[in-house]
Amino acid sequence: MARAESSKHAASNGAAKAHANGTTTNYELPWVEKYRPVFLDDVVGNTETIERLKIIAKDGNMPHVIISGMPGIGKTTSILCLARQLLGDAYKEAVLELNASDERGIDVVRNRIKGFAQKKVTLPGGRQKLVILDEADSMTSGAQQALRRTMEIYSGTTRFAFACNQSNKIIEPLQSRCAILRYSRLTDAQVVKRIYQICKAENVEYSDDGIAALVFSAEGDMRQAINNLQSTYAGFGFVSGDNVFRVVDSPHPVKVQAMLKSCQEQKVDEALDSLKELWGLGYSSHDIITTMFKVTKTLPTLSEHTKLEFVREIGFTHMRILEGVQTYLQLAGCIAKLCKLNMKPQLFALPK
Amino acid sequence: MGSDIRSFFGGSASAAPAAKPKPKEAKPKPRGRARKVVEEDEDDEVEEARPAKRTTPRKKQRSPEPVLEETTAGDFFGKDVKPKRTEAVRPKTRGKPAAAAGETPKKVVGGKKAEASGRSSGRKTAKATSYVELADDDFPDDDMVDADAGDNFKSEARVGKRLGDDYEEGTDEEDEKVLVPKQKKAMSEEDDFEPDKDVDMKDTNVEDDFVVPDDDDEVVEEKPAKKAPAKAGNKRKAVVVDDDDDDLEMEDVKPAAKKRAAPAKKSAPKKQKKDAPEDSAEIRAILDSIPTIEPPPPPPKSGEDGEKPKFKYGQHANSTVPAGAVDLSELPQGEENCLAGLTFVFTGQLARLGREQGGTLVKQYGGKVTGAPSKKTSYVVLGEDAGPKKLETIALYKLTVIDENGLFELIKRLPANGGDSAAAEKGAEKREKEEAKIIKEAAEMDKIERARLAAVKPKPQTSSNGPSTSQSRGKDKEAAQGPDNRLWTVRYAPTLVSQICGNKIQVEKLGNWLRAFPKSQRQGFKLPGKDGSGTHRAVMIHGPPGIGKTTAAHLVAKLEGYDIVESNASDARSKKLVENGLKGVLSTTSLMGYFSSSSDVVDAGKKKLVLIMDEVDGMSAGDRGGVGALSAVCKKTQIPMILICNDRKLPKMKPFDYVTYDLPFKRPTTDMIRSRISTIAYREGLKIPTNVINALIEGSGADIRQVVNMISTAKLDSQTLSFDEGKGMSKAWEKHIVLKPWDMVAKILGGGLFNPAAKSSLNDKQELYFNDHEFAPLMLQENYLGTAPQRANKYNGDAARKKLATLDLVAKAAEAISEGDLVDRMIHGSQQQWGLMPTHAMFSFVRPASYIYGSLAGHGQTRFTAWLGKNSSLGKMTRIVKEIAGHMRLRVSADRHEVRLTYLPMLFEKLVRALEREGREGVPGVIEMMDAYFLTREDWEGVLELGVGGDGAEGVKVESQTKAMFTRTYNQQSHPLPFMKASQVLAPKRAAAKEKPDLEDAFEESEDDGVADEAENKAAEDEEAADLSKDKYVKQPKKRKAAAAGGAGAAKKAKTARKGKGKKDEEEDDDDEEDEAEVKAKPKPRAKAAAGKGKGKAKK
Repeated sequence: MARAESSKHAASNGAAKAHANGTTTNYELPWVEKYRPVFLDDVVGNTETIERLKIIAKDGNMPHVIISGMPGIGKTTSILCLARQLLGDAYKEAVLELNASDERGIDVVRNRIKGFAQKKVTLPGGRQKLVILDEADSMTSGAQQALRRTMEIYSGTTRFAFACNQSNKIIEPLQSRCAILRYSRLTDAQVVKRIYQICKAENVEYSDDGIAALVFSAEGDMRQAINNLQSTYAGFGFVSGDNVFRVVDSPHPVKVQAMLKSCQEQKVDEALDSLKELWGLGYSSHDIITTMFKVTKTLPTLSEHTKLEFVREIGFTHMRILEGVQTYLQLAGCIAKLCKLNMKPQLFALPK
Repeated sequence: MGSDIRSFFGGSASAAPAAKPKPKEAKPKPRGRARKVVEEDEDDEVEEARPAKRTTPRKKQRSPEPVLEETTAGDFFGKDVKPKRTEAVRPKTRGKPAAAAGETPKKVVGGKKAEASGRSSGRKTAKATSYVELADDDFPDDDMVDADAGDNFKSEARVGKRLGDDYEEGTDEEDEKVLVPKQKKAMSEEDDFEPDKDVDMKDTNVEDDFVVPDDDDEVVEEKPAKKAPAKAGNKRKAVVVDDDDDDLEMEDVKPAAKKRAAPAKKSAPKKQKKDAPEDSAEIRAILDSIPTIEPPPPPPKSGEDGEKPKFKYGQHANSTVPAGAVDLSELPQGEENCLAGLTFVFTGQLARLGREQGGTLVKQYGGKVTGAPSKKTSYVVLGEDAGPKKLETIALYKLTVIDENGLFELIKRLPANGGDSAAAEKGAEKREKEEAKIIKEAAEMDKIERARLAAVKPKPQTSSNGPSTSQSRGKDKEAAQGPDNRLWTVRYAPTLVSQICGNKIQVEKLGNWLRAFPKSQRQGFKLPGKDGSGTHRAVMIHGPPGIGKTTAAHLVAKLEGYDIVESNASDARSKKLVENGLKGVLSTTSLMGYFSSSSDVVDAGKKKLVLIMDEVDGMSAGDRGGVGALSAVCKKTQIPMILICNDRKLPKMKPFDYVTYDLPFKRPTTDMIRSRISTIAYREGLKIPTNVINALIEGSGADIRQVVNMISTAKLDSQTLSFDEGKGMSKAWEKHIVLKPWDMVAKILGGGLFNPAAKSSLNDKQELYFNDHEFAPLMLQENYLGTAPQRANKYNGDAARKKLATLDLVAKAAEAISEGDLVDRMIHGSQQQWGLMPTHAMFSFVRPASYIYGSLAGHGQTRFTAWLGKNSSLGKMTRIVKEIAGHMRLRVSADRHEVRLTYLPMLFEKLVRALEREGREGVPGVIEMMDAYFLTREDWEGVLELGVGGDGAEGVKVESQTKAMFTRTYNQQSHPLPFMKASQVLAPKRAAAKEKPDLEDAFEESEDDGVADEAENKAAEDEEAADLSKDKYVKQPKKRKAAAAGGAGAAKKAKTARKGKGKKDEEEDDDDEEDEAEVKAKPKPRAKAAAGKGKGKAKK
C-alpha cells in the first residue's frame, strides 16, 4: 500500500512526476507513453468508475471486470494502474498480461492462462493474481469459451480484467461473469486540463485556439489529442489553431456544419462561399465530402427525414468522387442539390 | 396452482374459491384484540408458508430503507403491536378506537396518527367512488399477483427481445403437472394461499364467474407482437412454483400454519366490501381531485353485444412511443413511492408518454403496471386508439380513467409512500412481511455461514443468534476471519437446492433422473420411467448464461451422493481426448480405482461418479471431433453424464438429439430472483429499494449472476442504490451481443426506432447495420414488404388512399434499396471502396427502413434472405448456359444471352418435349439433333433445367424407361465434340490413392473449394501422364461406366478418395465437416455474395 500512498504525491504534482519518471529517455518517448498515468489518481475522466477502481485498489477483492469504450480514453491505462496499485511489488509474478500481439488462441487459454491461474503466488490478503486481457474483443469465441469455467473455478486466486472496444465481441457468458465498466469519451474540459499539464511540462508554446482545435479534433480521444499536440509541436513549434488543423488535416467540422446549415436555409451563395473557403484551404474533395457525411448525421437542426435526404445526395457525390471525379464542381453541385432539396419545386418549373 | 385453475374451470372448484375471501375478512372484524390474533396468524403464514408471495407486493412499494430496519424476526412476530413499528415506514395503529371499527384504515402513517380517527368518519362516507370500490376487494393482495404476472411477463418479453435469443422463459406446463401431487398433499394450507396466488379465482369468486379470466385471455391475445398468449398463465404458475419451493424450505413449520389458518377461513365469508381499509380524507381528496377523463365508449357500441370489431394490430404495434414525446426531465417529480399500492394500466397511444416511459415512471414511484385492466386496476391511463377489449373492461368495472396529466398530477400530489391510502397501507403491510422474510433468510444464511466458519476455523466466533444489523454482522465476520475475499457470486452461490432461483421442476427432474440412474442402468435403459428420462444415460441442461445451470448440476449431484468429475471448455476436448480421457471415468470397473485415491474416507465401492461436461457448445475449432465423440460416449456411458450448454439449437449440437434427455432451463422470473437478491443486499448492508432490484433484474435479462455482480460493484462505493442509479447501471451493464440478422431487421423495421420519441440517432441505426453488414441489406430487402408502414397510418380512415400511400412508400423504399446496390457495387466490386461502408449503411439499410418502418405483425417470422440461394442457382444456370453456348458455338453465332433467349426455348421443345411426347421412338431424333449442335448428354439435362414457365423441369414427365434408353443409346454411340474440357476428363485412379495419406485438413480444404480445384489438379496430372485411356471420349465402352458412376466427375471422386481413408475415420470426418462448416459457413456465403453480387443483383 506504500505505492498507493505515493500516488497521492503523484496526483499532486501530476505530470511533473510522470515527467521525472521518463527523464532518462526523455525525448525518445512519444508523449503518449511518457505521460501515461501511473496511478489511478492520474487517470482522467470517467470519474465514477475510476473512483470505484480506486476503492478496489485499496480494499482488494477485485471482481472480474470488462472495461469497454472508445480508443484513447484510458482503458488499458486504468487496468495497468489498478494492477500496479493492487499488487505492488508482486506485479511481476502476479500479473499475466496478454494483448492482441500475443497469441491468445484456445491453446494459450487452456495452457498458459489456466496454468497461471493454478499457480500459487504469495500475496497479501485480499489480493488475487490478475490476468489482463487487453483488446479482448479480438479473441476468438472459442478462446473466450475456454475462459468461462476457469474464471469461476479459480476465482479464489485469480481475477480477470478485460479491455475491449466493443463489448459485444465478448461472449455473453463472460459478460455475465464480469462487472462491466463502460468508459465514455472524455469531456473537452478533461482533455484540456491534461493537455495544459503536458504543455507546461514540455514547455510548449500554445495559443488558446490551438488547444481548442486539439480538443476538437480529438473528439474525446486523449491519446489522439496528445499525439496531435506532439506532432504540432514538433512540426511548427507553436500550437495554434491553424497549425493544429494543418497537422490534423481534416476540414473543420464547425465550418462544414455552417455550410450545411446554409444549405438547409437555401442560402446557396453562403454555402458555396464556405465551400470555396474549405477548398481554398487545400482539403481534398474526399476529405470534405466525408466530413460532410459525418456532420450531417449528427446535425441537430435537421429532421431525420431531411438528414436522410442530405445523406443520399452526399453519398452519391461521394461515390462520384471515389470514381475519380474529384473536382470542385462536384462539391458545388452537391451543395446546390442540397439547397434545392428544401426549396419549393415550383421554383424550378419553367415559366409558361 | 395450475391444477386449481383447471379444476375451477371444470366447475368443481369447491375448495379454492371458498378459501379466497379469507385474508380480507380475517382482518377487519375483531378490530381490537382479536384482530391482533388474526394479524399474527397472517404474519406467521408469511413467515412460514408463502414467502414467495410476499416478494410480490414488495416490488414497488417498499420504501427505500426498510431492509435495514431493526425489526428482527423475533420482534416482529413476538410482540406484535407497536414498539418498533412506529418508527417503521408504516406503523399500524391497531389499537385504535372502535369508532372506526368497520372501516377505519388499519394503519396510519406515523405522524398522522392523531388525525386518524377524525379522518375515519370522513372516509366512511366517502366510500362511493369507483376507486374505493376497487380498493375494497382486498386489492393489493391479489392484484399484485396479477400485476406481477403482467409485469414480469412483459419485462421478460422485453428481455427476450433485447437479447435476441431463443431461450424460452418462465416455467411451462410441465411444471404444473409435476406439481400436482405435492399440491394435493398440502391442500389444506394450500387453500389459504390460493386467494393470493391467482387473481382469476379471486375475481370469479367475488363476481361473475367467467368474466375476468376470459378477459385476461383476451388481453393477452391483443398484444401479438410482444408475447405468446400462454405467457400470462405461465407466469402465474411460476409464482406457484415458487411457493412450492418455499414450502419445501419451510416444511417444518407448516402444521402450525395450517392449524391457524383454519379458523381464519371459517370466519371468512361475510363482509367483503365493508371492512376493506379506506383512504384517509386527505388522500381521498387528492385522489378525487385528479382529473379523470371519460373513456370513449368501447368502439362501435355493438361491440358489447358480441359483435366485436376486429382489432387492427397495425395501428397499435407502434404505440410504444408517441409522436410528441416528452423528455424524462419534463416529467413530474413526486414523493418517493407515492404511487405505492396503486395499479395502473396503460392503454392506447398516449400523446406525450411512451408506454415504456410511462411504465418506468409508475414503477419508479412504487406503482404497479399491469398489461390488462381488471377489477383491481386503480387507474387506467388512456390514450388514443385504446383496444376495444380494454375499453369494454373499463366500462364493465367502471374503472377510473385518467390521461397523462392525471398521472402526472397523481405523482405530484400524493404523499410519500402513498400516504395512508388504503392501497398504500396494504402495500406497506405486504412489504413488511416480505422484509421479515428477507431478514429471516439472511439470518439463516448467516447461520450457515457461521457453521461453515465453524467448520473451517477452530474457534468459531459466537454472536447473538438473533439477526443483528448487517453492519455489526459484517464487523463480526471481519473480526473473525478478515475480509471475505471471495466474489459475491461465489459467496452467495446457492448451497441448497432450494436456493436455486427458478427452474425448480427442471432441477427436480434432474434429481429424479440421477436417483433413478442405477435402477435404469440395471434395466438396461429400457424403461422410460415416469418422466421418460429412464432411457437416457445423459442429460443435457441448456439455457442462457447466469441462471444457475452449472450450479444446479453440481448441487444435485452432491445431493444425490455423487462425486463429480467436471470437464469444461478450458479443457481440450478433441475426439481423441474425449475418448481416451473419459475411458478411465466411464466404466464402472475402473471407477473403484479412481476413487480409492480420493482423500475421503468413504469406502470406495459406494462412491458414485457423475460426469459434468460443461459448456459443450464451447467445443470449438480446437476440439475437432469432440462433439461426435462425446455423443457417442453418451450412448454407452455407464455413469450418469450431465452436459451443459447455452444454445441447444446450434447445428453443432445436433449429434446430441435423441441421445440426451433435454432439460431446458429458463430465465427465472423477476419474483424468483428478487427475494434472493434482497437477501444478499440485506446481508451486505446495502439498501436497495424493490423497484431498483426489479429494474436491475429486468435490465440484466434475469441473469442472476450479473445482478449479484452489479450489486457487489455498487456496494463498493455506496450503501444505497437509487432508482436512477440502478436504471443507469443496468443500462451500462446491458450485455451487448451482436444481433443476429433476423433481430436487426425486426428492430429497424418494427422496433419503433424511427419514432421521434425513440431518441435513436442516425448513428444508432447505422450501428445496427454494422452488426452484420453483409446480411443487413439482404435481410431488409427480404422482409421490407412485410410491414404495415406507419407512415401510411395517417390515412387510416381511407382505405384507398392508405393503399396508395403504402404503395408509394414501398416504391420509395425499393428505390432506396436499389441505390444501395449502386453503392454496394463500388464496395464489393472491382473498386473495393470500403470507405463507402457508412454510406452503404445509410442507403441500403436506414433509408429504406425510414420509409416502410412499421409493425411487422402479420408478417410472420422474419424470413432469411432468399438472395443467397437465388444467387447460387443463378450462378449454376449461368454456368450451364455458358457450357451449352460453348458447345453450340460451332453451329451458332449467338452469344450466350442470345442462346438463352432464342435457342433454348426451341431446344427445349426439340430435345425435352420430343422425348416426352414420342417416347422411345424419339430417342434417335433427339440424339441426332444434339449431335448436330454438339450438345452432350449433360447439356440435355442442362436444357431441361433451364426451362422456364410452363417449360419448367417439374412440368416435364419423361418416362424413366425412355430416359434410360436415351442414356444407353447415347453412350453407345460416339458423338462429335467441339472441344474437351478438363473437368470431363477422368482422373487416374492413382491420383486418389496418392491423396490418401494427406491429412484431413487438406481434404477439407480441397473439398470446400469444390470441383474446380480438383479438376485443376487432375488436369495437371493428366498432362504429365498423357494417358489416353483416361480420356472419357476416347475409350467409349470402358468409359461408360466411369462416366455414369463419376457423373459429376471430380466431386464424386473426392468422396471415393475419402472413403479410402477407411471406415474408422468416417465418423470423425463427419464431425470435422460440421466443425469446418461452422467455421466456414460465415465467411463463405459472404465471399460469394460479394463476388457475385454486382452481377446477381443486376439480374435480380
